[in-house]
Amino acid sequence: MRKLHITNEKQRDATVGMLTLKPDPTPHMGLPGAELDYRRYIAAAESGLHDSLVKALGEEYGQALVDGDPEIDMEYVGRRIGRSDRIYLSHGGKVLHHAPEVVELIINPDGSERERRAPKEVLANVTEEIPARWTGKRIKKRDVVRRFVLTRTVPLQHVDGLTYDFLYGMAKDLHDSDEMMLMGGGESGKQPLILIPNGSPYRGLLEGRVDGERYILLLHLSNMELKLPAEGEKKA
Amino acid sequence: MARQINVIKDGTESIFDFKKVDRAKLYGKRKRVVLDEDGENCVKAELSEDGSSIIRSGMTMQAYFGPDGEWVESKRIVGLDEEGNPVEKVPSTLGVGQELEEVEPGALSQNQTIAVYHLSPVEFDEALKKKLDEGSIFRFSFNYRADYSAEVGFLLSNAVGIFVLVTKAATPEWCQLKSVAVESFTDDSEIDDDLDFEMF
Repeated sequence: MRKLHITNEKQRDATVGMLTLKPDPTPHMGLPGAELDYRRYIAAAESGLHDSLVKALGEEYGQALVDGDPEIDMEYVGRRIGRSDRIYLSHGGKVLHHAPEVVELIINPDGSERERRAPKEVLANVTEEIPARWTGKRIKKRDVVRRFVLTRTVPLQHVDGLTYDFLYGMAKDLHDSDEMMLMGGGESGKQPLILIPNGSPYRGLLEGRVDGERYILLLHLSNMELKLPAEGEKKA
Repeated sequence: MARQINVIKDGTESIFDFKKVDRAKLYGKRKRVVLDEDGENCVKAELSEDGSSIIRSGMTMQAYFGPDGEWVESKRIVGLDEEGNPVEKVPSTLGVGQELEEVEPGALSQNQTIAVYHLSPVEFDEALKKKLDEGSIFRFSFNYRADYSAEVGFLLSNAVGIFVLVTKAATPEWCQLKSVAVESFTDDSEIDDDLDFEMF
């Protein structure tokens, strides 16, 4: 279980548990009464790929496939693929003999390239030392869902009796006011949250619900506003 | 004719054209590319676990296999519920009027949003427009193409326009004093992957 370092309204901090909110179960694919296995397998050897066939048989190789099945390597095709590692080959498909260069591209909304640069290492700004801070900026729940796309949701849970009181208090405050709290990261507590190294920055919005002694505290993460690309931004 | 989103409130149907909105179209995107010694883009491939095979794009397929390893044709595969019973296919909801249900914001915030569409009205019930302008949020059944489960659509508007958020239903669990989060040493990697937002 991952932990989250977080502060409350009084800027008291605690470390709590981050859970995973899984979608409700939906039907799975299969055959009634049968145990099926969904597998990846080798369907063609390299010699059976289009480029190899063109090289061996010329562009018009269709009839050759019908006549002699040259694309099927009986020793290789059908093998199950288990775990594998991602590798990179040269643009010509050859094995690389030294480490490739990694470049970061910044692409404009219209698809054009704005910048090409060495990848920047981005540090997480919510860590064991730096908490996600309660900024005091409250937004009505109805306004949040009409303004932001909530990309991910992380339920928070207490890890002991003290953190139960801590999280319950936050949940009750937000429940009673029907608001969400903007959470900030970094030393200033005002930056978007970056929860993992090299992760994307996300607005964090905390939502609380209580029912008697029970509570739900959800940290919503958003990296998208509910709006239109610049050229089409007008009231429908 | 382009397919449309049709919704019904109090017996009156409204019809909308729709267009997908995604993050890259709003803000652009950042991506990492791997270059070879000639400065050209490298080709992604896989190395099999035993190191014996380089698996290139186009060399693999996926399929269902029975207990004896026999291949099962995909046309025989159906949706099954948790008990293993076949379920009915859910038709596409596009072009078919779907009943709207007004909901509180929490019904949307707890779900997982998977797509956002901007709507342009073709026929727009005045009463529905008034409710949306006031900030009301409506839930309806949404299924882009026929499959074995419908998603949950939410219709709302803001100063910019009218939107549908397509979501997967999720139900957060209540926390109680007696049930504390338990330290686990087995699933960290899974949750780390979950939080690798770059993949989205």
